[in-house]
Amino acid sequence: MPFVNLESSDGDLVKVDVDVIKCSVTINALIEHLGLEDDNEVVPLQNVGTETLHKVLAWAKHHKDDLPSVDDDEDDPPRERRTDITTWDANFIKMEQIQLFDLILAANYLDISGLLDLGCKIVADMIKGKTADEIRTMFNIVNDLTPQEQEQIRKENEWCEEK
Amino acid sequence: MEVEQEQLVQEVTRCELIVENGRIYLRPISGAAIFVNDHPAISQIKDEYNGRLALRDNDRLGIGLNEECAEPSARFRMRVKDLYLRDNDDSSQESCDESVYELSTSDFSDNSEDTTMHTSMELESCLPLQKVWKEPGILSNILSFLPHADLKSTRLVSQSWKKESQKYFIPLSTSSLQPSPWISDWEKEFRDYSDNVMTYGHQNFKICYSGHPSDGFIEEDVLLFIRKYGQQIKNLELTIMPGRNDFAFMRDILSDPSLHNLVELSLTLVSNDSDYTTKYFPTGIILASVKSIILNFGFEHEPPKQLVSFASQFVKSFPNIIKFFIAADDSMEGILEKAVLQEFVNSPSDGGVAFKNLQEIRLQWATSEVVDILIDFPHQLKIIETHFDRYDVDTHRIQNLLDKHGPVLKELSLAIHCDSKEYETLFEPPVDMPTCPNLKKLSYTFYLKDDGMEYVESIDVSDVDLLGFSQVFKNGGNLFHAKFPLLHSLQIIITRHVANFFEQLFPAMDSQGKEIVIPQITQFRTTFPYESNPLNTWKARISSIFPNASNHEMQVVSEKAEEMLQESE
Repeated sequence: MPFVNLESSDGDLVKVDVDVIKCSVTINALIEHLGLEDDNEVVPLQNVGTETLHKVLAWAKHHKDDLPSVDDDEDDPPRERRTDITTWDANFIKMEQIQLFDLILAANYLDISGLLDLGCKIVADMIKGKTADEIRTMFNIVNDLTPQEQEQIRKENEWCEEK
Repeated sequence: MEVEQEQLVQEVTRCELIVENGRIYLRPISGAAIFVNDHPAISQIKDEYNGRLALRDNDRLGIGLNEECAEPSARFRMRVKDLYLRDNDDSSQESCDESVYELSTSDFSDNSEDTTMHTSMELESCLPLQKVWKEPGILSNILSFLPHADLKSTRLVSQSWKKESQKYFIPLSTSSLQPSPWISDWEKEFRDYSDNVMTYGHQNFKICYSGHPSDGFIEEDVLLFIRKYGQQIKNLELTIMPGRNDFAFMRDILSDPSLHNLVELSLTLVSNDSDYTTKYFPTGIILASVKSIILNFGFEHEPPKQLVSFASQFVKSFPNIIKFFIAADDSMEGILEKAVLQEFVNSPSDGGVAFKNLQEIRLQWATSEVVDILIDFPHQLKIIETHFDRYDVDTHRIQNLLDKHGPVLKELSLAIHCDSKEYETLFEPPVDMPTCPNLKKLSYTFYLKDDGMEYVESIDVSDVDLLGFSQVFKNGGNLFHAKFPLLHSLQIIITRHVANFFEQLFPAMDSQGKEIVIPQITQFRTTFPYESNPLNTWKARISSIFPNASNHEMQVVSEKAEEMLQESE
């Protein structure tokens, strides 16, 4: 079965080469679970809108022939993960914040680790160098830490050096 | 339809605020809850008045949260009166019978009274934001890309952020214990240290000890500490400074059974007068959990005679190590590296230990004898990093080293030191780079000394080889990919570009006259020649050869090159 029809949450159908979307663990599982046998069968994606789905597919198409991930070994000592991004990915991910977060949610739902990592790297870059107040403002997060808890964290931060 | 006090308007994904004939109406379009006056109940807007809701003076809107969300204080709030005022102030709206306001979470603020409302902002944006932060897996993934300094900030954002940050923060954190020679200071600092360790559950410890033998109380306290908290220690950096004449202290720490979870051990010994005889590090101490060893030796004078046997004995205590790094004072000239490496190749039948898990060796210096040991290693290594002198380590040895480990190598980093009279050895005879199917990172650094510049300038570099790299490179992207299918990180550093080194190293065309393009490289660093061509020419060349290389890395290099340019001017 070379193609599969994906139905977005907006009800739109998008025909996709199975080879392109094989990066999605969720869709692979759905195809297997639903036992799709012909090109007219539809895989419903209730959590992904049409616009986001097209973005996901553009990324998947470009990375169709990617080799397995080159992440560091599990044996490596703990350290933050690399945040380098290829030029193509950097251009691809230039979008409004709302679209970025939609894309991250879609990548998470569809279980596409490469795309999820890309979106998360961008958000991590947005966080870098910002104070807790600035992060809360940027992402509309409620500060539910008590003043005492915050003071305790500050003390701990002072005490902890970088390894 | 007038809004009732304490009324929840609608669960929608999107709404419009409509200004019409001096009044403001709310029209739900589609999923996030829109609250009016914080009421918890839900009521559908009936279709009278076109499904719109007229807002009254002092009504407050809470937008973007539903009943699952945290606190009302998170909501965007605005007095309806303010909306009217702003609308009246905005001359651009005067001619419109109907204006549509869309709200954005980027404009949400806890200072509800001061919040400014802009046109053309998306209310929808609150939804993915809220959903993203409710997915612990996503937040955790984002935090995994942050360095230690930023994790200090993210821990202060909220309870959930603190919780998710903690699992990355603690493994990247360490805490130092540098005993004070004054007993009163020591008692307090040690008490605080112990309290903090217990409170925060740290895994990484640094102990820097320069005590005099008379400071027995410090040693006793530290040993008691290790006994108490040893099982939570995963990384231990132990530095023993001059002033301590034997290693009984170190032995007592490492032989404590509570250290059974220790994974990484870094040992720095800076002492000339120490007694390195093995009586202070007897056989029988085995730390089977240790996977990584870093050994640093520094001396103020001549290295101690017994150091070689001490180091050899020491490594036998860690039979399961995967990674080994050793750095010794220059005066050792690779002797220590040779002695320790010899332990790795000694078979158990010769009284050695089978270091069958060892995958990674990083050496500060390798002589030809050390390279020979690596060539004869009992198994193939995945990571090799070393410096060596090109005069001492010939091409034949380099070839054998690459042939031996090439099939499994994941990371190769060779730093070649070469004075000007040895430059020619860089080009002859060429190394035939073997296929390295697993190689991900390749780094060649050439330390070319400047002495005898007249001689240097006269060298013919028309066939620059640089350990076989050029031969692969000049044959284009396809051969490069065939040789190194997984390679994504490449670093070629030359401290002194002479003649047309750069042109020879990174030609625009391959041997068939086709443009060289290597898309697989995503991280690339090099040094540009700074005495000749415009920098932009080289930068453009590199960009076209490595179109997917990280711009950030390029920038780092070009900045350095520009600095050099300025200095030379």
